[in-house]
Amino acid sequence: MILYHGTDIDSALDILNHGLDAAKLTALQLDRPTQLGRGWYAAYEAEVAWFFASLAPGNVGRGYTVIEIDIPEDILNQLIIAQQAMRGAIMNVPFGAQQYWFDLRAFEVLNAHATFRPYAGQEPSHG
Amino acid sequence: MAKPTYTDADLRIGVTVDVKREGQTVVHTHRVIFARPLTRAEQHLFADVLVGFYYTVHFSQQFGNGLVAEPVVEFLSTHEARYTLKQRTLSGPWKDLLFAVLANFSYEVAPIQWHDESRAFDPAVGPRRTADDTMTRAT
Repeated sequence: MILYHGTDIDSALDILNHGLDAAKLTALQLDRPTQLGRGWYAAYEAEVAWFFASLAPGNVGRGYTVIEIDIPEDILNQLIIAQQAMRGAIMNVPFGAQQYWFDLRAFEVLNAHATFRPYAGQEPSHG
Repeated sequence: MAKPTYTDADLRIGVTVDVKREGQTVVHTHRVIFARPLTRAEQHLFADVLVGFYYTVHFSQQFGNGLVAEPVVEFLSTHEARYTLKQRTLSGPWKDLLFAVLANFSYEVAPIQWHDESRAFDPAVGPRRTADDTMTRAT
């Protein structure tokens, strides 16, 4: 299954080249409120991820992007059963805006079994 | 096969958002393009909805409270708006609320074709992929 994560450029390159880092994410989210608790978020749709990318906390003017995470279905299901991943919908939205939350404990498994790569979708066409 | 090393050149980079730091606050301006021209009443409603979002975040205390001022909403034309938020942090559950507010405005009042680089709110994009399309089941 392919999920999408919107973030700033530096964070995206860090994940793409080095994988998810629990220590870095913990430092980033320390004393900051989060939607579902400390952890890593990915959207089920690229367009939803682009919305959250545009609100990335680490954007200091270099821009933002979306990266893809390709997770084998059995691995994702194992993480969900182990309560190290959770699927939820953004509330009160007139369409299915699904997102996944991954606990810090899931990072080792994700780094071992998932593939992180740049977003391969189409370029925006608005002016 | 060796794992590639990625650089900026490999990424599709979003640049529509204007982000500035003013001391301890972050000022960020977003672009909204509607699928059709908005009437004056609809433009006022869009501004009111975003101001209402600000007060909901502030007084509910349920979405983090990093916003420090009412949003500034400006229509550049009848179908294009910009809104600016000032806040102490860009982290927090207020993002989900903002997403819901914009989504419902798009579906109930005037279709939002683009929000920066995102088409998430455009009803014309068609049926959406849902998690139930797959064999994945949350337990």
